[in-house]
Amino acid sequence: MKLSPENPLSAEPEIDTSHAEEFVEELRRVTDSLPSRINIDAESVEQGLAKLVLTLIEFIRRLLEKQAVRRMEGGDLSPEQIEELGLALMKLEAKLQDLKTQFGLADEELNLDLGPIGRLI
Amino acid sequence: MKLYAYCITRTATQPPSAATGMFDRKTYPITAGELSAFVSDVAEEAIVIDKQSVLTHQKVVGSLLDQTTPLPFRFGTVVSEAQLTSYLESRRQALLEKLALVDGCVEMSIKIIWQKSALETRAKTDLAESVAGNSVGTEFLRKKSAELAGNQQLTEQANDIATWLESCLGSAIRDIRVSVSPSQRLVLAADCLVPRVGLDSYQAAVDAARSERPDLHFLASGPWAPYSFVNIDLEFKSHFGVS
Repeated sequence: MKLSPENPLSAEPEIDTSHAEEFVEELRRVTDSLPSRINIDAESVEQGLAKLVLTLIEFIRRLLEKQAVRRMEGGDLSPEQIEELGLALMKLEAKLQDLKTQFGLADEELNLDLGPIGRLI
Repeated sequence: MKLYAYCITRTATQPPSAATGMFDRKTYPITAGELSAFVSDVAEEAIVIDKQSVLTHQKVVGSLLDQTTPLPFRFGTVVSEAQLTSYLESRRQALLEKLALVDGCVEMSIKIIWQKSALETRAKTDLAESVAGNSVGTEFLRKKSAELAGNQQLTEQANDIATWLESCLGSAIRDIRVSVSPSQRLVLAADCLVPRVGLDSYQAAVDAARSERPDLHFLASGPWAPYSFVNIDLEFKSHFGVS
C-alpha cells in the first residue's frame, strides 16, 4: 500500500486476500442476485413487475410462517389447528414456487435492496 | 449535453492529473462557491456498466483522492449542469459538513466468508428428528420451526463476528458500517473510515484479526473514497429524481 504517514496523499487501492477464487465466486453470485431496475418496455415489464409482486408476497409468506410457528410453540393451537395451518402454509409455499417457475425467477432473486436499511428478506 | 458526475470537493482542489474521463472526455470542475463537482460531458443519458467505464470512474475519483478526501458519486450519475449547480448551492452547508466529517480519511473495506456447514448439518439433523411421526401439515410447521431456530443461531453467530471485528479494529477506525448476511457464505461486509495517518495501525489490526480467526476468510481492500459514509448520490437522486 502506497499510503503511509510519510506519504499520506498517495492512494492506490489494493485488494488483499488469500482466498481470491472463493471471493470472486461469492461476489459474482451476490451481484447476479441483486435486483436490477425494472425496465419499462413491453418485453421486460411483465417479469419486472412479477418479481416485485412476488418479492412482497414472499416477504408476507415468511411473516405468516414465523407467526404460525410462534403460536404453535406458544401452545396457542390445538393439534387440529396446527395441522390445518401447516397445510395452508404448505400450499401457499407450493403455489408461490409455481409462480416463480412460471416467471423464471430463482429464490435468491426475490429480494429488495432497501439501501442503508439493508435487504428486505 | 449532460454531465457525468464523479465527486464533490472543496473548490481549491486541482483537476485530476489523469484528466481523461468517461468516453475519453476531459474531466473538469463545476464550481459553486466553496464547492466543486468534477464532471465530464457525456451525450448519453445512461452509462453502460462495463469494466472500462467502472475503471474510468475509479481512476478519476482515485486521482482526486490522492489530493484530498472527496465526496464520491456512485458510478453512473448523469445530470444536467443546472441540477448540479442547484444541488451544490442548496446543500452547501450539509456538503461542507460531510467533507469535514471525512476529512483526512479514506474508506477501507473488509469482507468475510465463513464456513457454516457444521451449523447447517446440525439444523438438518434437528429437522429430521422433529418431523418424524407427524402428519403432513404438522410436519411442515415443525420443519419451519427447525429452520427458524437454525436461522436464529446463524444470525447470533454472524452478529458475534461483527461485534468481534469492531472490537479488533477499535481505535484504528473513526467510523464503521457493517452489514451481516447470516444466510450467505459472504457473511459480513464492513466499510471503515480510517484516518490516512493511521493506516498502518488499521493494517496491523486487520492482520491480528486474521490471525486470531483462521476459520474466517478475509478480503481487505482500499483505500477508497468514502462511498459508504456520505451517500450523496442517494440524496442527489432523491432530490432531483435523476439516474
